[in-house]
Amino acid sequence: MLVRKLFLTSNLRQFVAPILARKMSTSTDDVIFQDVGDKGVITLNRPKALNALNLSMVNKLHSKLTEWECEKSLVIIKGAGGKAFCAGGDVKSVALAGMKGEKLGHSFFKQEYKTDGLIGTYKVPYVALIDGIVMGGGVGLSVHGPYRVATERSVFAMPETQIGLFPDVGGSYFLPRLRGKLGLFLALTGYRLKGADIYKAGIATHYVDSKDLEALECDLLKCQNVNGIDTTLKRYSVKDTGEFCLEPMMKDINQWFSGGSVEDIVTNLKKNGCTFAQEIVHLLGKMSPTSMKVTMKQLECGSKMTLEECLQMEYRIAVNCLANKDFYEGVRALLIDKDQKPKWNPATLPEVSSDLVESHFAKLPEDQELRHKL
Amino acid sequence: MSQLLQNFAQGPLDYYRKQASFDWKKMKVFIDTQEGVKFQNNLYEKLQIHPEFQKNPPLETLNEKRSTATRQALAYANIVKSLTTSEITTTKKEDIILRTILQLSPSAAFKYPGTKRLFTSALQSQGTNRHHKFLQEAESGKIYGCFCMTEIGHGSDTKNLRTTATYDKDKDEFVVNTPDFQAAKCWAAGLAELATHAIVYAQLYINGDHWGLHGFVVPIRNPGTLLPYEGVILGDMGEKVGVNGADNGFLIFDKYRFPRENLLNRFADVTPKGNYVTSAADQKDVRGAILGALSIARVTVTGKSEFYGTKALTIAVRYVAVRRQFGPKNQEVSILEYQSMQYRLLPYLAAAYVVRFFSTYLDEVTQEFVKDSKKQNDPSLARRGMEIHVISAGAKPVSGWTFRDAIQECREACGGHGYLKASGIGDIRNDQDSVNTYEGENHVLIQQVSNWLLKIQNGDKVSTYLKSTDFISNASKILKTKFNASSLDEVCKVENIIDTYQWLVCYLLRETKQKFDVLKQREGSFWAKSNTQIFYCKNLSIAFVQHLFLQRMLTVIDTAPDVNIRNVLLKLFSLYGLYNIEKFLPSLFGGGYVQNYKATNLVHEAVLKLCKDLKNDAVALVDAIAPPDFVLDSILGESDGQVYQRLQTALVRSSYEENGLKCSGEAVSNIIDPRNKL
Repeated sequence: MLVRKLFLTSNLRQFVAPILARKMSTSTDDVIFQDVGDKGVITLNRPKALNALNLSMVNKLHSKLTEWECEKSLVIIKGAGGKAFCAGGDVKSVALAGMKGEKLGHSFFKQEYKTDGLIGTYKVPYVALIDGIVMGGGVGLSVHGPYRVATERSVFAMPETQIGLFPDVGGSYFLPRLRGKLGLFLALTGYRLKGADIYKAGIATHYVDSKDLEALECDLLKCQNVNGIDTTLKRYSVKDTGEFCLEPMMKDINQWFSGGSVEDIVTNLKKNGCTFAQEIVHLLGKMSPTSMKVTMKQLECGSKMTLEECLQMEYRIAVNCLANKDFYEGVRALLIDKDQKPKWNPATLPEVSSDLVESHFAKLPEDQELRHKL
Repeated sequence: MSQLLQNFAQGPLDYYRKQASFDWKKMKVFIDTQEGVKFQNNLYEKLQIHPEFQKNPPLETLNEKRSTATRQALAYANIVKSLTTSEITTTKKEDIILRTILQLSPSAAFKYPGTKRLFTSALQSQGTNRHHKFLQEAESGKIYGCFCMTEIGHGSDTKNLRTTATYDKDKDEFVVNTPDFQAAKCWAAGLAELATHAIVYAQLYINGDHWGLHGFVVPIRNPGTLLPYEGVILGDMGEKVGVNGADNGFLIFDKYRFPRENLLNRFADVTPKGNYVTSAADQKDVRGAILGALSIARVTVTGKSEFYGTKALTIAVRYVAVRRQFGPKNQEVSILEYQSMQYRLLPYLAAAYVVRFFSTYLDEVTQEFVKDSKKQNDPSLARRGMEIHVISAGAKPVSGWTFRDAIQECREACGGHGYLKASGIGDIRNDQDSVNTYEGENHVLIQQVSNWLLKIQNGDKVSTYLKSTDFISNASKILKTKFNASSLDEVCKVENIIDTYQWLVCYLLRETKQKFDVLKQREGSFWAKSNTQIFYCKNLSIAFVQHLFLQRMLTVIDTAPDVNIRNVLLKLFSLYGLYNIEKFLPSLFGGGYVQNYKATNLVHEAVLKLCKDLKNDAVALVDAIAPPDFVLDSILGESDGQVYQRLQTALVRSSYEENGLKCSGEAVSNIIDPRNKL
């Protein structure tokens, strides 16, 4: 099942009236910001939606993080409810709005990516406690910071190609920087990593026991400096000497995914024929062919770009996805009608022309670009 | 080499690529050097994925064009900084850096700090140690300079510029003032948006005495806020024919003050007490020294026209190779097979090679000169500098006019499709156009060549550092020679072409001098000079420059890596020479060098034969000098030759994007009254 969940109605009020929402009691806020002296704690608070991000949340996150960057000595971010850190962006709302011709997606993605970029260059230590589900937008809120703390309950994935999207939120930056072709593999297949494997893949920097999280947070809030944070995290870290789950297949993965095109990768996999390869072929068969080709190019480019350049590129791709049909079809098939049978257009890899792929990367009109100051 | 350069995608251009008589990769490495190609590859790789250099949506407003160019220029500066350049020569590196940005985004090239040579070279050549801080700050990006010479009312006539700088002894400051709008500084790139400092040329006044034109470095905007200082009025030149992302502006001073030390005082200085100090004999010499020092910055302009021309030629040659039209027995043939198409494009392709080799050489000798002038104080340096100045003053117009014509021919060779914006040629034409006027208007500039040559007296033994005029020592002997080629092979020979050019230069020099002397008696030297320009001075200068181009080409051919490359370069040499000699036939007849129409026929036939011989090499010749597809950015010129596929994508996309549903007639029905008929 895809975990980019969507809760439109219950939170509609927060789209239209974030100011009104702020006046309500903190327990119903979708993000809770706590000042603890010179430190700050952020809690993503939509547990029923597995803390999926919406425009209201990313707006608040961006403005508060900007404010805290000058005030705090440490920022911790976590998810409420114990099931998820954050299951991604609220893409159903985005798609539904888009179908009506509204531009929610444009605002949402831009603000989300800006927040990810801010975290990537954040001037004070930023600790993400990625307990439970951490996918898509949740990855964006954690992976670009210096400390990512996973637990045995963590489940990681970048599943966007399933819904006609692409691994965004800085995926073009961090994925190609994972070992070998692991990033491309995770990006194209949406393959899930769990618990200590997230740490072993290099996506988390620390691995702790979920029952210790509360105590860890408490101790972190007592830290005087970066050294203190490092030692505290080290103290709570759990050793897992087991092998990385994909280790036995890494050599094959590197070889298969070194193909020059998605078609080549599929050919490589089919040629091999082992069960694992067949499973991947089956998985890839479900994904949007356009998304896969865009993803491949995006990671290639991203491997040589800065995070900010990556996010600028991703926003262009996002705007193009919002203008194309695959994204709406993907959301319809997986999240609205739930028939699990998206009709991609183009339907096969060879039909996706290089011009179509290229067009996703074209510049946007001046006033629409996601910009960082040079 | 095969790893350094990738093969082009297969497609409709394969036919001609297979016909080529030489290996284009070898040619490219020969031109750009191995290290150069590596450097290019790194640069292209970074540019191709950089967000600022992705395809632009149609840029509508000046503001959009301006901000895009600014972003690209800054991004380019960062990319260039990030490249490691261990073994490449400075000249090659500079050539690649300038060529690439100019071919990719001419407007960004204007804004890219690395091209702000006029500002820095004015500081270097006219300033002294006390201006060193400006140089450092400009290099580190702390300040941004522009160059203000031209005024609304006066351009080439620098003596009559009217901005004034008056020394105020009490405050140890200059007061710069614009007396009226005609004296407003204008056209300077960078003035409208970016520049924090301007090199300003103004008439110097001390205690009511006039000391002539001098250069000053004037702070005009606050580097922190980019707001102009009080007393500085800045404006925008508005929309131009091309390079609209460049921020050309105008500048008016309202009794604006700046410190005395900002006078560029290499040639003349003002003491705190208000005394004028100079080592030069008179005012004319001071102005001459100032203007001479500036010509170094002009050297790169020769190459710029070729950068544009090469881009247009790449598009046109590939297009005409793919395009098929008419043919015997209903067999359509590529339009490159037609004589008229070959004659329209191939001589310009030859020019692209010839000028490219020459401008590289000019860059090299200039850098050498600048280096030598720093370390020694040799009196011969002034003569050497003069020669470079004259050659660049001639090469810039000859190159500019050649590629102006080449680009227009390319546009027409691509027919209607060439008229599409997406072909790219129209923009290239409009952007190149500016080169013919900026940094010295072509017709004014080229007079420097004839002025210099006319100083050579009959029978003088001439020997210069670059040996550009040495052959003129033998003028009397040369003028006795005759055209003696009697076969096609002989006409195409190097000796025949060089001999013909040397005769031409000597002859035109003699004729021009005689004409000038006669007219001078009658109407004085001012009008005599003006009245010898057409058919005399201008032709003389052009022939002189083309001879230099050809001499350089010969030196390059001597270093060719293999016989195939040598042969094709020799053909380009002969084609460039004979194509241009053909235009001088009236002079060749007039002076008795050729005596019958057999020579004319031979030259004509040789040009056509060379065109025909080169047509199968044309695509490969273009491949060796073409920018990569993403820089070329033309639906007609991509290296895979898939012209029609790209046309389809572009046309379908444009009617979708630009017009939306308007093709349905909805738009028209809103305009036309249904009671009337269309």
